[in-house]
Amino acid sequence: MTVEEIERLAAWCASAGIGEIELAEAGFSLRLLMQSVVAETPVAVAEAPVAEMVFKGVRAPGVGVFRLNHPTTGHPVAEPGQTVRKGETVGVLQVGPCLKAVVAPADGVFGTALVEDGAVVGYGTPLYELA
Amino acid sequence: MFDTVLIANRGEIALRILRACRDLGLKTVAAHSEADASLRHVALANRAICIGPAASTESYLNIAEIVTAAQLTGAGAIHPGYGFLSENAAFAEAVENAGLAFIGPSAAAIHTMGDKVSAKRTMIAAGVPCVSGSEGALPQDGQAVRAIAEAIGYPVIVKAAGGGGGRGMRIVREERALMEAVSLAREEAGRAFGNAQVYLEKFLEHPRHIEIQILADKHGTAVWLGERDCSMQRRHQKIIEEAPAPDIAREAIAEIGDLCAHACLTIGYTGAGTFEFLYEDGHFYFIEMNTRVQVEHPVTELVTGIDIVREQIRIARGEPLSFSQEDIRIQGHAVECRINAEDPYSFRPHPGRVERWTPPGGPGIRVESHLYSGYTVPPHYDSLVAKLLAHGATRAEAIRRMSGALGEMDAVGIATNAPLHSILMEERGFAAGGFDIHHLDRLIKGGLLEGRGGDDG
Repeated sequence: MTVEEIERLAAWCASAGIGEIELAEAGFSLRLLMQSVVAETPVAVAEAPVAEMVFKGVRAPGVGVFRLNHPTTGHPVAEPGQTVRKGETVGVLQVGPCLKAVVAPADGVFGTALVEDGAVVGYGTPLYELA
Repeated sequence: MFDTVLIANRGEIALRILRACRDLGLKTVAAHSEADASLRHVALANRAICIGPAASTESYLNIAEIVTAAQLTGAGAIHPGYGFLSENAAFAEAVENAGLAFIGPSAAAIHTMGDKVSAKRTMIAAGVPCVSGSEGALPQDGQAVRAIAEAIGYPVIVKAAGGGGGRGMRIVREERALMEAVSLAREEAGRAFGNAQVYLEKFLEHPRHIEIQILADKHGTAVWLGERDCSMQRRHQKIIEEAPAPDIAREAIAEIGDLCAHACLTIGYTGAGTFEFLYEDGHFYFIEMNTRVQVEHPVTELVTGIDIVREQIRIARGEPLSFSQEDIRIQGHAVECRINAEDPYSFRPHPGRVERWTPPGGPGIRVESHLYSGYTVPPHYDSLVAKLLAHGATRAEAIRRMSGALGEMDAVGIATNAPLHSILMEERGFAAGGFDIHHLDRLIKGGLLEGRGGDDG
């Protein structure tokens, strides 16, 4: 794969809202982790105030199976006590063969998981504390 | 065979589907938006899952999330209700491809009947009468368009091939206004439906809206469950429906009903569906087919005693219809009033918190509503909050019962159009029956609502 192809793939992932992608061919594997600069922010800002009064931590970005550990590394994406930045990927949801990035909504100190590994979660389900 | 149904809708129809599932011993999953966590069916379902934010494009129209939600919650079938994705062939196909049952017709049937031009062509082939019009989409050449309009005879109406709900429609009464109307309709259709194709039809001046309810199973049986008269409309939106239709011979209904049932077999249509017709001077003219359950389906349920939503689910399970055409009898008369959370005179939406909800009751009254005291009607969706239905031995009895029910109904905290319905129950044209689809707009233009509702600000 050429550098141009990787750049194209990265641009395509960004426009499609894909947080992470892994490719494997004979003798070659690639893992791209996108720093999400999500375009949906205005909507989130408009909807968020009510919800944030209740829970200020990390929520599920959609429907999926909550994974404590990243299925390919076997480790959590972020550890409790770690300082994370707004927009940083801190966890994963699994949907079949795909992974959805769980993103920190604000800067803060990452807390413990609020949901058990393997639980089916929906959009907005509280997943981690964030202090 | 599925034992769990995911309900991909909201409001009264979600609750209606949940009740049908419960009657069949099926479990339910309520797939809801973030704004709808407090809906009644979410509380009653075996399981609930939030599929996205309030905006329907990110929740109730999000095909991938809904299919994923069904797979992860173990639902083997999805009921789309009405509106949202219910007539979306791509959704039906995604559900089928995921190995789940779509409670509705096949993606192919939705596709055929969803495009008005191909639907009309299919109906003509099946022998269903259609209003005369252009053969398919209009050509670009102005000369050819003028010739088509000339052949149909003015007035004509320009309609969007991919449209519905009155958008992209234009009435043309003379040739010099034709080309401008066609290009405006194309523009509007392209913007609203992503399909700029338009077609021409003869415009009927005083039609009634009469529709035929059908059910078709996967074993080659199709039946029709009588008709509904949905002529009481404001700006093409139905507000009162009734069955049977006043002053139309039963033989004429039977003839058109048989044609509709037969057309289902021709196009391989299964599930519940409705053939919509304009009716003028004793003739039926097919306008479109709704490939889903309709808002007004309970009107037919009251006069036939058949649970249409339950039959839809049974058909999706591959079961044969448990009755034949000969078993279907029309008993008495039924009327439905759509109760919207809106100012009854200005028609402005009026969402908000329902401080107290007291539904009406009594003999012959049925209420389909998701309201409860303390529920907040969100501003994001359709304003339909309840359907009041009245059934009586005669039309006059059904109307009397409806008047009483409208007076009894109490929804403190939101405005509803119940006062408008009360006025219409007493209105001379409605009492007589058989009015055309412009009746209400004409009444409003004539001052029906003037001097009313001054206290609403």
